[in-house]
Amino acid sequence: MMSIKENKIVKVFSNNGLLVAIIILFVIMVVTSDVFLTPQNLINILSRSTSMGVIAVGMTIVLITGGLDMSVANVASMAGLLSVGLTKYQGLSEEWAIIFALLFGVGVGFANGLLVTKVKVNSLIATIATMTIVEGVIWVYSNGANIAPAPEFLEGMTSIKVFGNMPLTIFIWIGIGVLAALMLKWTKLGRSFYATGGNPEASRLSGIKTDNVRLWAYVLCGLLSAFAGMLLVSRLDAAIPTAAAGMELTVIAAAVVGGTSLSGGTGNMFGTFLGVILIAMISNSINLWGVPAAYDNVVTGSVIGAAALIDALRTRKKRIG
Amino acid sequence: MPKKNQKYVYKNEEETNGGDIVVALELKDVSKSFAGIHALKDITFSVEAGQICSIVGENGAGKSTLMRVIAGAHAPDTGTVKICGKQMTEFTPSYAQASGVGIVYQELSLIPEMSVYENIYLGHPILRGILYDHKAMAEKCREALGEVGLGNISPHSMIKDLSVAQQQLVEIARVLVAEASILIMDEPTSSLSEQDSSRLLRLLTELKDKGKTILYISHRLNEVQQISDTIVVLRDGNFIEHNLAKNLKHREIIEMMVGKAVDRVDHMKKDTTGLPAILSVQNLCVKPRIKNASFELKKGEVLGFAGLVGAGRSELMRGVFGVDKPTGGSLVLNGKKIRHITPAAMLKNETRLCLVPENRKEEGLIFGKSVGENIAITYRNFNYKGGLIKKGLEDDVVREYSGKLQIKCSSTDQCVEDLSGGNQQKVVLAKMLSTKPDILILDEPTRGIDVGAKAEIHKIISQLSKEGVSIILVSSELSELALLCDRVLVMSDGKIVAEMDREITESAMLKEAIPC
Repeated sequence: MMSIKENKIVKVFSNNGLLVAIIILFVIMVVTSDVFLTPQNLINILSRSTSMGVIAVGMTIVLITGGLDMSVANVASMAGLLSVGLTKYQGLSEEWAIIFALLFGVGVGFANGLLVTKVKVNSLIATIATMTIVEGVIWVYSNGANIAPAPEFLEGMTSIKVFGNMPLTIFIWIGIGVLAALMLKWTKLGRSFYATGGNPEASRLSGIKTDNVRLWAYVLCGLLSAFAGMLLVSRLDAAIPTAAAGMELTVIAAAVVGGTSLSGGTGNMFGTFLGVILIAMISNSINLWGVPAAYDNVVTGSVIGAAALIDALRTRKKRIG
Repeated sequence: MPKKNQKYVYKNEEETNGGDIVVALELKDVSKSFAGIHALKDITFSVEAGQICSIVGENGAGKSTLMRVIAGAHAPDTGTVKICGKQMTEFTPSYAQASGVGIVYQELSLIPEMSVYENIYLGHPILRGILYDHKAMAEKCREALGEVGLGNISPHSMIKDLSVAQQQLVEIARVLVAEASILIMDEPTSSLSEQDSSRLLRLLTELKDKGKTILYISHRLNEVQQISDTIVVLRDGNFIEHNLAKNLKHREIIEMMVGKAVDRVDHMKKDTTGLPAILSVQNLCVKPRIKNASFELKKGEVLGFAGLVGAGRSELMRGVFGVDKPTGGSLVLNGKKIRHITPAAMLKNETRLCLVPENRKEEGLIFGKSVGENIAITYRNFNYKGGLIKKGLEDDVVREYSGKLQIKCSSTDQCVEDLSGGNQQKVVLAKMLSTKPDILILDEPTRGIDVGAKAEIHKIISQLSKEGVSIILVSSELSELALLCDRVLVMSDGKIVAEMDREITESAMLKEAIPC
């Protein structure tokens, strides 16, 4: 029994260069920084990743179906603005503001899905279109100004602490990830995401309604993005128009580093989770080393490139061997 | 020419002894056109339950389109399809499946990144509540795999890790699991070795005995005549004939398919003893399967490579051309040792070596580009000036070779995927011939193409050999090797196991090819 367990652990490591990379970075940080291994810093890393992590869940689903969603970051920002602004300016109750903000995400996701499946626009172009529209709407709605403070309910997600000093948002993120992983593994819709991404025509001929499957992926991604926007509001205690700016690319990188293929058909939540953690840790390390924040993107980009390279070498080796 | 108004329901009175005939499939006036071109025109016939009915015709005759209509992948423009007496009201794959139609498509339709059992249950999984029952599926899948002779494959293995032949068998297992009453097999044996094919044919006969109705499509007319009860001939989307298999002679079928008599290639074989070697391969190793392969190709000969699918013939050729980099051994071209074996080096060598790959779709052609562009692409590598292509010269070359090989297209600007398989293969040939090769390696040049086109390709090979081109011909069709080759090497399990030059017969090659 014990040996089987051990073998499994060895297998996880040898199949997952990413996990090894995270551990190496972790060790380097423990050695080079006094602050890194404090509970507050580790919690900080996790809590800053929550919104990116939740978007990454949705993005992974879309990527598995062979699509791409560039609108996620702007949807998150806009949903954040709506969740605060609808109460403050339009006089809705807090609950309804949140529900409408989530519906906004669903709506954009639905539009993305229709463009991709019915109008048959390439997913990159279709979602860049919606991304740009939503960006415009953000500026029209907010005039570029923050809306504060966060409604009580959203604020509570961060201020409620579990297990000592961990904000509830971390567990919400992990809960969503686990649910998504279970859905992908055990439900018909989840398996259809993989099938559709792996070979759309074969899936269609097997009786899978591939258009509906892809539509669902975009809707889920839109919904999760909107929710991620609220997690941001919760952490920052305000809705900031640029809060999630540029996050779509980081999220795609996290998913790809985590083993999701851009050509569809492969990917899993655990890999994406690790991808998000790696990117968050790099950002944190740069901060702790006192490197000017401007270098953040240079380093993050390089690490993503290196991770992708290692992954490419590994899969090539596998194919030959 | 057979009469147009042939009776379409064939009633086999001897066997049914006047009892009730159950009609499993009834097609009436089925027509379908794509972009204004008739793919099917008023197809009317029916098939009795428990029979094997083969559909034959050249590429582009409409066989696959017809099968796709029955399987719900295409809706017909007009006409009706009745399955077991019930008219299809909706043409979707799930409706057809629910009506009892199972199909193995010509193109592999599996998900490479998924396990065998999930592919087998794709679209109709076993569920427990709303959850997938992975365990039950894997277990039931194991039985079906055993039935198609894949008992040694785990249901959990990934499709991408299986060979093409194994994938084909998985597709068949999928139809068995779906418990279809009408099985459609669209060229299931085109990528199988003779051994796997005969196992499949046995399986089909067994299924027939269990009462299944089978629609069978194949270019291998021997198989068709061997297993069919009735044969339907289609040509250019028209119904030509439906008759008992035993009433039709091989030659008659071909004439009905082609619409005219086909002349068989009259290939003159050469005596190769004493000819100098143009290519000499010594102890070539290609990971993972080829170890220390040595052989010589003599100047002007047609050297055949026989073997079962998976014997390593394609891998060896990929090594010789440098697609997969050899890990050891040497290659001597016309007395000159080649240091770096890469496709570019082989194409640029004084003694030019070209490979026409096995997989014309993935490796031979660029889909979405025109016929002309596809032909010019290799030629372009050797004929440019200061980095600029010479369009006029290219056009001449395209014209010359598309004419020489008689590629049938509306113009050389036509998209290459719109051509039939045989013509696509000619485009790949034209592209390589335009570089004027001294050595040509042809890997399965006639796979999945029809009788007429096959004869034309044979003629081209024979002609090239006459012109002095040295040819290596890899083929799973032993009759083709017997017809064309001056000398044959047989491979088995990654090794060259036999050589024959005088008596090249199908049975002798098969005997050597089967590993002991």
